[in-house]
Amino acid sequence: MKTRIKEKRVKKGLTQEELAQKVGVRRETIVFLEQGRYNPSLRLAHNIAKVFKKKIEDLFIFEE
Amino acid sequence: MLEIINIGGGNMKTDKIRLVLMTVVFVAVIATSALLGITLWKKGQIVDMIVPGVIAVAIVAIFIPFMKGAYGAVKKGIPFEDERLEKIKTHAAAYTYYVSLYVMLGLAWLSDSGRLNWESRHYLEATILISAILFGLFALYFSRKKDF
Repeated sequence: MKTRIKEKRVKKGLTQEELAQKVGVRRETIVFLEQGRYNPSLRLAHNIAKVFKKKIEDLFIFEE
Repeated sequence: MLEIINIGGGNMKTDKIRLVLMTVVFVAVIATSALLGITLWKKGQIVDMIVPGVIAVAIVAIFIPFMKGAYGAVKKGIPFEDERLEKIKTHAAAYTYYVSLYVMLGLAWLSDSGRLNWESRHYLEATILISAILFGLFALYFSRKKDF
């Protein structure tokens, strides 16, 4: 899985810690998400998409 | 200044309570290990103190940095446990349970076949120690696993 979280986060001027705080997870989870090494729950994906005012599919790219 | 709005549903009050409860459990485990160690010391079973000693040292070595980080996180308003950590813990616990069953079965076979002649409490201590090590190893594996 690839994500565009880092790109959107940097564009919005947020640090990993601030994003973590906004969506209620640990900073490490944001690190793993950005590296595409963690499959988030639908709720977390929704919350992250909400922060960036994007659709989930705009941020998370699933590869077949 | 950035507006911090927690939309993740995190509850800092619950986190603080959980942290206090974890500290109580941590102190209870250390106290129990110390009591076991003192009892064995009084009985003169110095060698038998190794297993509870290793368990206590391992718990302190793992728990103190964890609790330090957790207190820091709660102070900053960040949850110290989240869905990823819960997932890692759940997977590690499940795998530990399966493997521990095999370990216990193996120890039972070794004992019944006469290959091991330990006291019954040694089997229990060995199982606790192996389970704790397995949990740590599985947690480490899942925390580094790709696409988890």
